[in-house]
Amino acid sequence: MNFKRIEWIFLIAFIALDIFLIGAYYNQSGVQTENNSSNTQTATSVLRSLKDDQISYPKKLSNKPNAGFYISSADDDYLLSQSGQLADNQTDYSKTDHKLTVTFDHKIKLNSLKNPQKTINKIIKDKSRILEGDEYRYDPRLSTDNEVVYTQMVYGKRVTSDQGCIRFVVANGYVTGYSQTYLQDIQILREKKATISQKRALIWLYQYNKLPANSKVKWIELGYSKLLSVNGSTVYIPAWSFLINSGNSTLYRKINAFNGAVMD
Amino acid sequence: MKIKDNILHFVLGAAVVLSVGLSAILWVNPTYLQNNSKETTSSVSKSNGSGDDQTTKTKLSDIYKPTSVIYNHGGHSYVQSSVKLDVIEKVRQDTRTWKVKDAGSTKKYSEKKYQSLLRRDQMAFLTFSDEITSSEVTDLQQKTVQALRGKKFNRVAIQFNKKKPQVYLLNDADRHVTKISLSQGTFTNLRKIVAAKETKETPIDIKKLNDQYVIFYLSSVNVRQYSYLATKDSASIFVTRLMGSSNSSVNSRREDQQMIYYDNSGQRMAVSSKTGAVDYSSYSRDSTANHSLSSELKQGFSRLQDTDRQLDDVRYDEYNANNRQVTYRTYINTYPILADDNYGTYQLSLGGTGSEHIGFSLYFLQVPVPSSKESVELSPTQQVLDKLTQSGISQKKINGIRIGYQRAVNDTSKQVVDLVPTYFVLYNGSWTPYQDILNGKVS
Repeated sequence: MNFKRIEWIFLIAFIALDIFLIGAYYNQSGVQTENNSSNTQTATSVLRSLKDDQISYPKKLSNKPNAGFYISSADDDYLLSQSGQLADNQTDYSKTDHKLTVTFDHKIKLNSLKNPQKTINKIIKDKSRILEGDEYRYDPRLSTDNEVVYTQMVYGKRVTSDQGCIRFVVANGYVTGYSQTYLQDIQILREKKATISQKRALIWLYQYNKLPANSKVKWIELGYSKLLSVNGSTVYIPAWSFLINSGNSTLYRKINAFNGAVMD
Repeated sequence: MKIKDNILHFVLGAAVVLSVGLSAILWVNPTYLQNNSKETTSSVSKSNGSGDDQTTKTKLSDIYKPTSVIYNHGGHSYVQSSVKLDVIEKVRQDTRTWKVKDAGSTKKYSEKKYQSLLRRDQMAFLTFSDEITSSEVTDLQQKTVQALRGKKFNRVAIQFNKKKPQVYLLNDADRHVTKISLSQGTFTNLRKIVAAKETKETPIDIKKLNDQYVIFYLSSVNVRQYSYLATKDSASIFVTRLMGSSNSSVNSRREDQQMIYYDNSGQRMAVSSKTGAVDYSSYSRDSTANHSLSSELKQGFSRLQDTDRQLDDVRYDEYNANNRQVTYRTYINTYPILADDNYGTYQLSLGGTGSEHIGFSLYFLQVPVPSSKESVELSPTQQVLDKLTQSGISQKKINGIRIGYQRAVNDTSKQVVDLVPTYFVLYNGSWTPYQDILNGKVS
């Protein structure tokens, strides 16, 4: 073995060593990215498992983080106190669920059955017919042919709760009235806090075994949902709501957007 | 021919030099040799009311965050705060982009010069509760800056009235000032915060009280009151989490108003049935002689993780080198809970007497709920100090003063705890509400 050959062997060995050391150096400086990438791999493998279980979900899942507040609203009868404004319409109020039910004195014809919001968007601003109407937005996901739903907007997000929505009753192409709940005197309880992404929420739901096999996740939406009631107020937090079609049934699920826990 | 022959020698030589150099860099930076995913992040599982477990990752830099942002302008200093915005997280959106290129030499300032620096116009301060090193502030990407290794600081100062913002590390304890230069970094969010477009400005002055630089509120300050739904963990959870790793079985006995859990390996956990205060102790696992601040703070974080608690609002509060104690407290928007019985607090004693201790409370804050009172008006700091001295307390005995939260049981629900802000004074080694000192409840 001549010296030159030995040199070549050493050269190859040291080049291999250098490649390894360079890799280790970049590994070290990208440790946190490495952690992120391992999280991505976990997410990818979970999504693959969903497909294996024949669970389909919306194609474009957002990975974007969001933020929201802990908020509260008093469980009071504000709508009842203001219902005098709706004098010409027949009103009824339930103190149990703080719900105002109104039957219009004159029913309103819908110009389009497919797009009922085109008509209702105009009447919702009429304060003699609807209280605080400008705080609500049309919610096509919850609406049906017989019930057009508008949900209250709070700090840029929908309220996804029994409280904070207007359900317009539609019969034979006419809006005959509605039932309404309202979150009033909303207080922010803590500073804005980061929420998990839509993708992460789906992964949590699956990992909690709350997604049945052979089902279809129709939509996943971020909104304010009821967390608990205490001392005459209700606390709401950002939550990811899921609508799932499983066989013939429709399932609703919720994930706490702050910590990924399943909500009842 | 000669050159051709020599090329092989040179290339081999270069490969050898490169491998020696890379090895040296990697060896000098010990983080490579340790498991980074454990050092810098932790998976913390938390049980919520429904009994479900989920993991949230608490990073080292989430615990070792600044606790306040101060900005000087127009000849005055102001604390920037907001009830809607997490000011510190906003600032971190900037600091995460910073890459430290170099650190200048550290200068020791005279008292007069340091005080002047703390009042310098158009200077912002990200203030940590106590001394820290750059290893804990992993937002500052500076793995190769040797000059910063082990350097202690408790303020990151940013000078805005230069062409490009200048960044300094300040240490109140020894008045050391180090200028650092960044190869990249944004200041967009910081600029917005110091412009007070989304934040409230409260006038203050940072000045010395005995040995400490302390925030003096110059006028009355309205501090928000909070209420929380509080939950009590069962002691058995911590028997598993803290004591469960050893092979020996755990026994228990009742002693006065305490339940003592113990095993044969020297582990012991005392739980007060009245207050929910827990004191866990074990023989020290610390075999290294390295008690540098950075090593202590990393160890403290590791012990904190052992409790497996949700650490969302938990922040590093102070380190006592004499007894090697690291204290973490629950911070509610700028101010810490300073209640007794370790409520919202984690006291880690890292050894020194041969045993380690973890002190905390079974109680934890679960969900904020509406408070019966929106805010409390507190007097200017000097007024509080004057009241204390007028009542016969020597100012020399007051080693610190700060605003914090004490807890009170809510009138309408036992499960709800009210966090009421007041001034706390570091008196006889513990933080005490100043009213208790005035009322003679503390001697």
